[in-house]
Amino acid sequence: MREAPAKRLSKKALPVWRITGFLESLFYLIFPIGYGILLVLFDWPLWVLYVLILLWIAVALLQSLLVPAIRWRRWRYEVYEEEIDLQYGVFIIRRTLIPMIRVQHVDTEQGPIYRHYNLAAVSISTAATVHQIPALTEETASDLRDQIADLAQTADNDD
Amino acid sequence: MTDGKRLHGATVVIMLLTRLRDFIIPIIIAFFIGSTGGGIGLFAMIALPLLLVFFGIYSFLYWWTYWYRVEDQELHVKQGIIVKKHRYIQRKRVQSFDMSAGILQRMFGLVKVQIETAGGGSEPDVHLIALDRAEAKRLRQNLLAKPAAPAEDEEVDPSEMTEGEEAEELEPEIEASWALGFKHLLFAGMTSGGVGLVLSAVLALFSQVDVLLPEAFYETTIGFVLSSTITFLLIAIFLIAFFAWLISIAITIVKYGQFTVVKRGNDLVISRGLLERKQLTLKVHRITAVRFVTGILRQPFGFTTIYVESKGGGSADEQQSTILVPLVNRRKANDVLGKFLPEFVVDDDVGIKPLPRRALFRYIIRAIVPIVLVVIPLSIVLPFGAYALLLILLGIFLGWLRHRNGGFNVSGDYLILQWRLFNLNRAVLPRKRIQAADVTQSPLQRWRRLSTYSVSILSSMSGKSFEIRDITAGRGEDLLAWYSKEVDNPNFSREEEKDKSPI
Repeated sequence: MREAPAKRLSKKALPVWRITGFLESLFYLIFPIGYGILLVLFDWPLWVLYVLILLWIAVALLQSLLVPAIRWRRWRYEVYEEEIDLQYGVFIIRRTLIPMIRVQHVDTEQGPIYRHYNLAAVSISTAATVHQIPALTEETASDLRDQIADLAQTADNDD
Repeated sequence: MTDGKRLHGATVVIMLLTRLRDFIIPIIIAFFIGSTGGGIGLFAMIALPLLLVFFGIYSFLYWWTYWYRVEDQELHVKQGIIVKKHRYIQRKRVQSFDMSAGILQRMFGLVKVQIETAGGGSEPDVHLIALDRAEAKRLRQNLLAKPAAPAEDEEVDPSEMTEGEEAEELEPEIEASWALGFKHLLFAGMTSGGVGLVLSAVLALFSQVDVLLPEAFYETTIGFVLSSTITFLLIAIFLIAFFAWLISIAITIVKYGQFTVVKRGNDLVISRGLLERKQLTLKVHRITAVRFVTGILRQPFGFTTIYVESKGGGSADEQQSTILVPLVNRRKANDVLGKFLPEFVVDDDVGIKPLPRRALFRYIIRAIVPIVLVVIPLSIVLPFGAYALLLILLGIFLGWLRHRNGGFNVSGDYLILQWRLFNLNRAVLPRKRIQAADVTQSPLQRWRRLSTYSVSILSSMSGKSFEIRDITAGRGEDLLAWYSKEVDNPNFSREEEKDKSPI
């Protein structure tokens, strides 16, 4: 089979994912904090708290350092005349093909963090599915959006 | 009035009764529970009439403010008591037109109409609660007929709709028809596997009722049960199961009685039901996949059910699919399908490429895990629980069976996927109906050089995806290449692939 698609995301995806990964890991602080509160109320062993804190640190490191790096290395995409080819995933690798004739619409999206880094994501919708290419530079994203929209329009409709 | 037409006046009554029916169980429970506390008076005197008046007013206003009109090329629906909502549905976007008559509608000789377009939402796009039959047929004609065809307004048979014999309509000729005979219907009921469902419903009912039964009843029954012999208990269990089975047969007969499929030009009209008569019109070119489902109980007899996936149509109790043929001999399945959807007939000869040997272990593990999670605690807690461990053997067998039955093949522009959860499923998916395809590989799969292939198609409400797990990584790539337009078609006839790099 052909090679993996060639195009990569913007390098700036890394700091963005590190930030969002870290913010996400804050959510898991619930466990050590919750246990800490229960510790005051009940006579439960203290070592569990240390384990939970260590676990949280591990998760935070994983989420803000390792996962973004792997994700960035995996993410590839390529837009051909007749189809879009995506490959992504941190542990589970997914390769997706979307034929141009199936593309219903393309959007670019930008949240506050993306905007700060001048990034944008491209969403490709078919009638049944939605696929997203995250963290492209604004320029690439809008070019890609226009290119896909263009190709999708000219693609033969056999329906 | 230029606003269009209102629904039939009986809508008010039907809505009111439907609301009451939805509330009947809470009302009954409140009645009984209230009676023990002496609060019945208050509830019955105030809450119930208030509820009734509220629903009554609501139903009336709903009917009063609901208007619909077929304009030039679209259906315009205006509704809303406080917030007005206008909805325009273009004729060419209408995916399915579902005409059914519930018991309430039947009381007035009316029908309910549901119209769907492609796209999201779990509710039908337009839901006309009650129309008279002639009006519903006119509407269907207006919405579904080819634009060139003149709108037929001739008189319609006022009598009950008879199975598929609506010759009075000037519609395209009937090209093919199929009806479920009574013997098959009965057999379908006997093998429907609905026993479990009925049993659990009965149990649920009992758990509700026990609040109401006097304690003395319990004492006598428990005493009776304890003093009776094992043989007697076994007979009792058998009898309960047997009655549950009879009830499930009855349910099937009521639901699928007088099942007919008729093909008229571009439309498939599926009618079914004894009490609630349903009629669904599907457009042939909107059908995205065909699925053969062989129930475990039906497999030994060689019978299968044919489902279709389609944009629009589909009901919740059929997993958003539509039953095209409820029961057919597997050998004749392709003949019957060919009458309605010849383009979906794939020769049985193409066979199914089996899953690789090394996937077997993964299939068995997947089948066992949920059983183990339940059985191990059971075996510890219950006195004779260790016997439950035997269920694990059943899990191993199920995993082995799933592995043995799983597989795929391609035949020209058609993908065939076969898998088993409990029932054996075989899906036929035309390439041009597939919206997107992907291959996934987990680290463990990567180690075993396996992958999971999945495709998405359009189904009634939204997308639906079909997947086949743990095929060899090379086959996964082949299947992706088969779907691709940029790559030459792969060679499926070659033997098992040599060592290939993952994705």
